[in-house]
Amino acid sequence: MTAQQQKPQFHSLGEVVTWVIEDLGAMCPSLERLEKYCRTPDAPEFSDIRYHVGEAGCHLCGEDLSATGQT
Amino acid sequence: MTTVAMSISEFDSFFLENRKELCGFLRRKFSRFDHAACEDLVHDAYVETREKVSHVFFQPEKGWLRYMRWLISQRAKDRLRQHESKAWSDLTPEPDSTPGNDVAEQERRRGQVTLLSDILQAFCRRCESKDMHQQKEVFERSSRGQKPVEIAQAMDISRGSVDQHLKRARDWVKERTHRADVHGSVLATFHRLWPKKT
Repeated sequence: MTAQQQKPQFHSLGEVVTWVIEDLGAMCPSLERLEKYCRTPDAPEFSDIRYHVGEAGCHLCGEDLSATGQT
Repeated sequence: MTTVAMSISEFDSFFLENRKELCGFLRRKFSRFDHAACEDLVHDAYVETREKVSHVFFQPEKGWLRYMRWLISQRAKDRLRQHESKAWSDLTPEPDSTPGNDVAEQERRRGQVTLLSDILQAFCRRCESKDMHQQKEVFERSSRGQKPVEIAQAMDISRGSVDQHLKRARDWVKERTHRADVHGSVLATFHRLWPKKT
């Protein structure tokens, strides 16, 4: 079987912007900073990550955080 | 964390032991990829790393599993970025095709391939390096559709601060975009997303 992936459908440039942020993780913090956040999630300097991971619900970072917690 | 270098046979054993976990990680993180695509990506990362192990003294700074997770994520994003490239091509109007223009046009489109994600990532890294986390949060909230008044309320800062952060962030992104935005299409998107009266 050939490897497949669901191809996104775009109808506007705005949809590409949303896709780049949500699927490509263009606004994700670096892995190093995400790991520091994991150790001290309430630190004031991580307010942007609290929004990104919590309110915006970035699943890419959520998965990285889960993996970081396991190792 | 102290990481030790591995021989090829040690790396092969490590990979066999962790292959399933890596595929699962990738599948959960990038749900657009099916199982076969994840297997492909993980295998490609294995081949790439094995090559390094066989030729140089390679020792990932923060552990092998972390390195492999990072590498397969990068390769998955590379594959997704091909869609970004195609999306721009599909959505930007075809220029007048004249003899001699086609090669230059193809070259311009190639240059546009990863423009948007590259610029936004560069913006994030810049904010991180300069401790501008508030500006990054304001910009991300705006990019995800929040209005300035909502951002001010959510972050407990003044509307003036929000406007100032947005202006600085957008100026930086626009300036970087302008340098490489051949068709003006990315800039046009930003102008639509960031109307003057917000």
